[in-house]
Amino acid sequence: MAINLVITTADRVRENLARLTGHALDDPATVAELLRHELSARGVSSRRSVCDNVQAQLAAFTDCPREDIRKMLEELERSGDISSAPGGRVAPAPLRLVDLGGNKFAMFGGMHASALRREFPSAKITCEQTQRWLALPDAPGAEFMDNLKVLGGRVMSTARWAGMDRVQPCGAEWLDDLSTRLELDHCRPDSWDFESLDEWNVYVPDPAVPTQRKRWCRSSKGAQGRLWRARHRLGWWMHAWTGGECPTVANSLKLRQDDTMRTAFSLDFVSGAALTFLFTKGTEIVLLVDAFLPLAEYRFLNVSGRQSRDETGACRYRFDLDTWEAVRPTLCERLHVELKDTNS
Amino acid sequence: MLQLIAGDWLQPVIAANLSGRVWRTPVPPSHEGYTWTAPGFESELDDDLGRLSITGLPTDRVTVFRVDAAGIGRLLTGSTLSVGQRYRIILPPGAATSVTTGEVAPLGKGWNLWELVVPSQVSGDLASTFEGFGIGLSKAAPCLEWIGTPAGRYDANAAGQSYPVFGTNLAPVLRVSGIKTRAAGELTLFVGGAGTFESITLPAGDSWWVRLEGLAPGDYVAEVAHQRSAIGRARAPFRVAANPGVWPSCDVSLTLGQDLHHPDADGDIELKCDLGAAFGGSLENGLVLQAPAFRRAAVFWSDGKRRRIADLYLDETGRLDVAASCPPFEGLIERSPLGNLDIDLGELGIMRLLHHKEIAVGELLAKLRDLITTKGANAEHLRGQYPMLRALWLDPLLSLLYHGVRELDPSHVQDLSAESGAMVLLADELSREGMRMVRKPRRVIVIAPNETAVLNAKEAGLWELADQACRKTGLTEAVLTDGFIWGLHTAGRKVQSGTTDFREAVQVGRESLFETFLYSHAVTL
Repeated sequence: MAINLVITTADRVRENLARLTGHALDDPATVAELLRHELSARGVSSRRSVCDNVQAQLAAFTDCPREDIRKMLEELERSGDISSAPGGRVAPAPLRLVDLGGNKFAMFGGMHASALRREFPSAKITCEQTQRWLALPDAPGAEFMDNLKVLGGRVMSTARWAGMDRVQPCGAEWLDDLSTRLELDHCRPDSWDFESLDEWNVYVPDPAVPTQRKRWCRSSKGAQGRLWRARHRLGWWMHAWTGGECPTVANSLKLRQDDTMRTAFSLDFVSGAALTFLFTKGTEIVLLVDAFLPLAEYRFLNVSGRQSRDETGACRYRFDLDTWEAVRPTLCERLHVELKDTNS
Repeated sequence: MLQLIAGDWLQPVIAANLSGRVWRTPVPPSHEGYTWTAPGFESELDDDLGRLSITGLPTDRVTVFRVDAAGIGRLLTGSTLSVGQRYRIILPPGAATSVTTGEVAPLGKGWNLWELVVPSQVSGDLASTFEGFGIGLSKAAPCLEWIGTPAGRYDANAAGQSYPVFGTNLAPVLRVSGIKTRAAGELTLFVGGAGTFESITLPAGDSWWVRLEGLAPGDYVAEVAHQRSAIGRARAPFRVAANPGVWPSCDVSLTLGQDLHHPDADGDIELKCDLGAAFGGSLENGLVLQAPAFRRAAVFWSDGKRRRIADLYLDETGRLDVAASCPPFEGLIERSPLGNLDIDLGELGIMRLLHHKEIAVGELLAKLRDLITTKGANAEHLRGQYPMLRALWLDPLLSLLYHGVRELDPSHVQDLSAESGAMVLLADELSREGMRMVRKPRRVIVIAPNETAVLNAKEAGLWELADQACRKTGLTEAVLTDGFIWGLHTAGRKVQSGTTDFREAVQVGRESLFETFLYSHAVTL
């Protein structure tokens, strides 16, 4: 076989790249796909490096701010395509297919779509922003399952994926559990000295403030509470649970982001400051979620409906009317949110 | 546990994380140097750890790191930068003000991080900034980038520099830039490897895209050379492979000592075991989980109450030494007779370890003898002084006998007879009901003010008190003790049971008496 060197143009390369990712270069799904490519190739990398390399790939064709790429990477981490560890390190997650019934699967994992199409030629693979689906013409056969096994993948139920049976719902019991953990496994105030943190904010569940984003108050203004957060100088948030004082003066329990979200919903509930989510009923239900949900409930909504995110960060979920009947009580019982029909 | 120290900054690092692999941790800039210590083992290890010390960053000049393809900053020994290459430059306090290109981020205490890609056309401002920092530029050279065809994976050469591996199904595209030519043929691209060689002269311009078709699997180098030797060459090694993708797997396994365990069809593992040795550090290979890299593992311990004891992450190789990563709870699990350790990997499965401690009678005997040696004499003087006797003697003793101790419910205390001068507690027992751990009161403990009262329990009013407490709590058995003489009483029975002097039972040569004592007074396991 002889090497053939062909002078080409940026436009040609751009077209090829769009064909490879399955999306136009200005589509957010392209950024998601390039992040999957980059991380699949690296195996393990730092967030910063992955974002830089994807930005370098796109820079020749389009102006894509690194902040947009970073947000998309965070979205992939949250959705389950990418695993992350403390210190800003990331790795592609293995392939998991969530069985939605009717030979349709929601797909999660770091494997990029072009490889998936190559490995599952009979499947129809579709994508909307970060969410991908795989549809088979028939029930998955032995060949499909063998391929999946070779790729290290697994099929699972929606319940297994969401994991709501493995984590407490939001509420007083969750807060009691945090207090027990605080007694057993707390950090001393000076343990934060070595983190380069900005000012601590405290979460105040004020019913007059409609969104959780605005319920974080600066400690310097005298706000009090038990759930705290501070931004690390490298960009990420650190969260803590205390007996009521700032983590720099009292023992605290370090919280993961997921626990923080569950704690915020729990505080909202016990303080009588539950959030209200608006929905619109038509041929389908459109639910507006202006909050970051705890992981299990987020996953449940993601595979129950179709998600899109607007520029403010709020999520819209579209549900069939039948599905909504199952989703609605789950939201009320686990998150204690109030659901309000915009038509009524 | 090791500590990494830089001036007044200190970072604890779990030593197990460093065994056999590269471990990266962020450090702040420091002119005082970076040293390692092993608290508690300074005399044994400080000499060895001293070899790992790194001198501090200079405060009179910048420190330059070249960013490699994996995003890792490699300390540059010289001070010459290459066009098109990304660098991280640590600016000492006071030096950041002269920087106008690239991103500058504060690192604290006046230090700053300047990150930039050296452009092909260096502006006057940037050139004077470089000059001010004593940084030189290598001679002009083309810049090569692989754009538009993502690599399937990256491999590394012997020097640790990574290069892309492309699949045979894609024709990689090389972008050449950074040089302006006036005539065709000034620049030539050469590609060689896998027994083949090809070249192409590039037309006049300042940016070129070249697609490399027909590449067979093998190792290649693309090199761009200019007609004039004053302009440097640029090389881009790469590899072509039939199927370069490497995909992470959902596979999970658990190693306990020498035994490797795999999950069931749902991904779960349920294992009956004794975790004492693993958490006590005496089990070779310990308790090690293998799962996808950076997967979070929530660890729960259940001994009547389920609580999360750690949130851990598997490392980049997908390995986690569970026991070594839960230090505050090692003792708790090691001592507990029963309990469930759940390692929750989310949708990938739950590893449920059903801990059942196998009691080594000899080991227990040694611990009880030690308790007598260290605390026995003092405890004898504390008979009847219940709070002190409990703290010094009874609680440690009952803990060794695998009892939990709890106070009586206040509503049960108020009607108890006070004549005997004894104190009443409850001994808990752990049991497993199905998969759940349940902690229930098993016996009433009547603590007598002296030895005579235990030996004459009926006359001393201990039977009456024990019967009352059993009725209130719904239990049927009571232990009667002053801390040293131990007897059993069955609620309502009017027969004096035998008593055992604990001090005698643990003596050498009285092993059968000790086993009788254990049978009567330790938790049934």
